[in-house]
Amino acid sequence: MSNRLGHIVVIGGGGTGIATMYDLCRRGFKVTLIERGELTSGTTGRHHGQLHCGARYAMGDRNIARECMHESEILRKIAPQAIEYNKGLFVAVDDEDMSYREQFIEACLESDIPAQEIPVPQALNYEKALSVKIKAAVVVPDGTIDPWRLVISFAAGALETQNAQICPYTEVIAINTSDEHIDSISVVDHTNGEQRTIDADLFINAAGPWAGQIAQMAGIPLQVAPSPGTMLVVKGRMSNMVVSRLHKAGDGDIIVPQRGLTIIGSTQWLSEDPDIVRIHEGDIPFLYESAEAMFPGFSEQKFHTAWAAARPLYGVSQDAEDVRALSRDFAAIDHEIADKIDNMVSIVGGKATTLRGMGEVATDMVCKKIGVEIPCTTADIVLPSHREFYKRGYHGN
Amino acid sequence: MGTDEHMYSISILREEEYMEFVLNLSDELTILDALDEIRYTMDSSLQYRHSCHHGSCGTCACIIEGTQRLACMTRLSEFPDRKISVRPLDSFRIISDLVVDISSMVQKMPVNSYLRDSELNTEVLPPDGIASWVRFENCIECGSCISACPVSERFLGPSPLAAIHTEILKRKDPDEIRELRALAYGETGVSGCDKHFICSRVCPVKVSPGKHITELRREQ
Ligand SMILES: Cc1cc2nc3c(=O)[nH]c(=O)nc-3n(C[C@H](O)[C@H](O)[C@H](O)COP(=O)(O)OP(=O)(O)OC[C@H]3O[C@@H](n4cnc5c(N)ncnc54)[C@H](O)[C@@H]3O)c2cc1C
Ligand code: SF4
Ligand code: FES
Repeated sequence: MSNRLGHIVVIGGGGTGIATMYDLCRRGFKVTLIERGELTSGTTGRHHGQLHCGARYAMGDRNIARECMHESEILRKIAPQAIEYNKGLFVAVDDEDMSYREQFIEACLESDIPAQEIPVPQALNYEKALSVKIKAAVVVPDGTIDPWRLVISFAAGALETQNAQICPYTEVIAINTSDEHIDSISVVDHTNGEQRTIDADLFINAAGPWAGQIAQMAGIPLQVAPSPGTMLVVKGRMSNMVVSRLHKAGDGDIIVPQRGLTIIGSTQWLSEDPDIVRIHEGDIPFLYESAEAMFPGFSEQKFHTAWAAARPLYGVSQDAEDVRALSRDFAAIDHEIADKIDNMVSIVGGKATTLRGMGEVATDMVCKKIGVEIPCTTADIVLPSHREFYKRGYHGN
Repeated sequence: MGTDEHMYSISILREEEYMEFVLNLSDELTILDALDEIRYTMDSSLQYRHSCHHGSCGTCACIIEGTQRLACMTRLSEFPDRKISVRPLDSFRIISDLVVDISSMVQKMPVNSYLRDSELNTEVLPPDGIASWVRFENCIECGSCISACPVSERFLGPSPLAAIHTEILKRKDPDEIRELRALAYGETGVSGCDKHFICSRVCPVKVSPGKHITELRREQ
């Protein structure tokens, strides 16, 4: 499977890998995507479901905020069926929150986020579950994502180009290098137990919190810290809008409604192993209590479930102390420059909301490496419905 | 979390035979957690579908102790004798272990129709820039109803008919409605239903496909 531009292997079938595959395919590359489980069975399927307009990050880093705003606008345009777009509310609950309000709005506006303060009675009218004690409310263009269906739409878009081959249940077990070059990867196909090697002109590591492990197989040190968090869901939809606490981004301060459920998240710690992440003791009572500050009555809803997933934090060592201070930004790394492996690129970090942008940056890097100029078109083409992913049968095969 | 741990016997149908895994698990974990534990600590070749871990994506449906369930929403504590059998959904092509190919179901569903109006707060106008409060459809395309339905031949099946019905109610264009009705009342449409209604019983998100079929019949 190769053409004039060459054959590229993408490792990892989360949002990042799939959006990268999609962009590469749109620009004419032949791509094989390798995912060890079902698509999005890593972190992507398990995130909170917030379409981040960037308001949450505006105080910390305007660039990240701006990027989220830009990408969330694009996603609303290209994948409208995978987003409940009801906007978001940031609510001030106490005096400390209030002291933060002006800087928050200013930071949003400076990041091109159209944050708009509304009178408290209007907020209470929008969302009946809100605490009547809230002191201020700001509307921002947040929304709810269906993580699986958004990403499957990207996969459907890739299949439509006829340049993509998707291999789920296929695990990378070795990366075979010689002379500062990757010749092939060895994989095991878990559907039949067979091992094989796959060669390609270029390899992209999009393995999320496992990206460090994949890089290691090529002898490359890549600092990616798996950083899990817990989310708690109750039955019953308590709001239409995403509701966040108007304060410095922290734990337990985002409530995301979705279908007939309401989700509060999250927490954050560092782990060594992204394979099995279990809920931390104490997280659930903490999340209930945090939700109550914004939605009194949250604890009376029927418990649905709780789960955890690991963020891929780039550039972090295991002993980092204040995890929250770490950047949510993403990085595309050309290992030719950094580590003298001439045909591997890693794309890690970021957020589910920035998947398309990450795909664009990774593909730009590939084009630059091989010396071609092909413009990115993924921001302008409406993706097929997730249901079209199934048009050609099992994962396009 | 600090609750009780016990030895569980999880028997998983792999190709033709059940394979038993005995392991120590905390009671409040789910079947999906147990599958993860087996895959990561005992047998890395075990394959099953999963994504959201909270009952929203629909990928993890399988047959647990004889009933179609979401693995991520089924707790070990529901099985006091601690012996649990898990097998793939019926009526779909098996890819491997618990992994089935659900494309035969989704191909029968209308495309571009996954949003609908929210039932919450409808009397209040949403903020500028939003036409109406919206939400995703209930059906998470898990395939449980198809697997449980005793009618297998020449029948669209419960969830595609439910999706077609929802779509008829949403659409305004008479031509589109006519096309959808042709599907619903065609050879493989509602007339195939034998009214067992097991579909509605197994649906994990209360789509009530059986009710949609009944309503379609009434609206014929
Ligand atoms: C608690 C929490 C809440 C979050 N909430 C939000 C939110 O509300 N909004 C938002 O925008 N973002 C959110 N995020 C961030 C977002 O989920 C992640 O940034 C994003 O999903 C990462 O996607 P990825 O594709 O890079 O990684 P992943 O989805 O983890 O993909 C990597 C893939 O690589 C595969 N893989 C690993 N090893 C191998 C191998 N050897 N061979 C083959 N394949 C392999 C894995 O199976 C996995 O599927 C949240 C994250 C967490 C943890
Ligand atoms: S109708 Fe219910 S059981 Fe059938 S596919 Fe949809 S969610 Fe699953
Ligand atoms: S993993 Fe999504 S419904 Fe179970």
